[in-house]
Amino acid sequence: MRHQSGQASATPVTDDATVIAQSRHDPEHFAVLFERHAPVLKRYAVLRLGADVADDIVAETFIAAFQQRAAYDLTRQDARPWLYGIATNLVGRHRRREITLYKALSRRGADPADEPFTEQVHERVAADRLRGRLSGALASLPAGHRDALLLVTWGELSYEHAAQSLGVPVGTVRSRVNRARQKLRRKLGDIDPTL
Amino acid sequence: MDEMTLLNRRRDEVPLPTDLSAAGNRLLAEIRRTPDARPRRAARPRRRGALVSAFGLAAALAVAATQLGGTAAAPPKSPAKQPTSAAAVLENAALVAEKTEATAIRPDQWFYMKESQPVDSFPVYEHWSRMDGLMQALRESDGKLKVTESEKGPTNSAKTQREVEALPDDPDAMLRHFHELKRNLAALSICEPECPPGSEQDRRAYGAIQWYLKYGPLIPPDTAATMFRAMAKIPSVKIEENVATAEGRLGLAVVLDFGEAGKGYTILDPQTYRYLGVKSVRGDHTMAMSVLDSGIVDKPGDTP
Repeated sequence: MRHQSGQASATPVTDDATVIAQSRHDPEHFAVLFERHAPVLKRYAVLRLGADVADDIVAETFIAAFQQRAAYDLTRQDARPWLYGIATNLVGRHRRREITLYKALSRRGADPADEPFTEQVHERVAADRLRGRLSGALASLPAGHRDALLLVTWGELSYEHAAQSLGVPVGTVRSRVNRARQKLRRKLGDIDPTL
Repeated sequence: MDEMTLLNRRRDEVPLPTDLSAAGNRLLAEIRRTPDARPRRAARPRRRGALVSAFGLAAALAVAATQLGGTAAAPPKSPAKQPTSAAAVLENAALVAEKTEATAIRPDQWFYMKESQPVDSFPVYEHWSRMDGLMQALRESDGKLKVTESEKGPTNSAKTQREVEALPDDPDAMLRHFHELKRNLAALSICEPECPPGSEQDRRAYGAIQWYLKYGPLIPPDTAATMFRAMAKIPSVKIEENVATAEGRLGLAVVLDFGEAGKGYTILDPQTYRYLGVKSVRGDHTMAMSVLDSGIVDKPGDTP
């Protein structure tokens, strides 16, 4: 949406709430929100579902947000919790695909590299194995725990913002993240306690 | 290396996508959906109820309720004195609504609303929504009227009207219905994300009634009455008098009171019980939004 960049740069310091308020008068202004947040949302979708459905998730997230913009709580200056909340709901419709992706990654991560052995290769193989373990462990988490953990890590949201995204109290996010971390730690530790 | 470091590293391995054209184009297509060349004519006007102002009646009923409420100490010549129990005030509001004459709204008419926004650059949002749900209009920042195909979202008047018509006509059944809504319709968050445990159903019901009361002119009088009676049954609902809206109009507030955790206000005209605005207060932090005007008009650009 290159044509919108002039408009975006003309209003460089407005917060998301102002952009949404303006988009009620001028719907095309909603594109500013897309320019601002589509890249991180797409990365989040790529990480959770893979590249092939990430575009759909991003498009559906922003279309849903656009249709609901009149109901947006304008006291929330940062729209990311809202957008990540919509995206996380959409990801939830693809739960089986997400699990399949993590399991595939967990197998691929364990492949030994077919190259002469060097210290570098050793490190990479170890890192790959760890990455594979991580994916396998993510697949084993309860969905609600996984959502909370990945909103604060892959989505880079604060606990308060993750709570807004999920519509739960911040204490619930905290305990879900803690429990998810404990489980990951257990699963990662099982394979290589020295790491 | 701990699991958070691993997750963060995993995130950083995926570069920020730059090809967003597919998703961007789909959004643009949605934004630019052009209006139908010719909106379909409604076959016949349907009868609609509407909550219209009823000053005299409200005042008379306020007197009756004052007497019923047992505030006999009040001087007999002060009909403006409100009973302060939530049940009495909201029953009064329900009686006023019930005595209001229902007016028919034609599908080719428009619901007009002028709202305040807590945003300095765009303090007022003025919009019209056609009652058949096909078209909408808004006042752009340059003052021009822009008419487009209607949004399908929550501000579509036809959608609101369908939802309102489907509401149960008994206060308890209405509350149960709102408890089961998938999302909270409240315009402003009250205590999120630190709400008292177990308050979710009450917040959902309060938020839903608050949402629909905003569309007062679309709500049939009997339904409005049920809403007021349902509100009175929500625990933690209290009444506060002389509560100021964002622009300083004083009203009667139906308050969802969670004390320290936050208070949500639905501010009503003390005479007509018409919706004036909402307010959310948490500590010394206050947020408010108001409806400055609303009503049924014949064409976009008209005001009541």
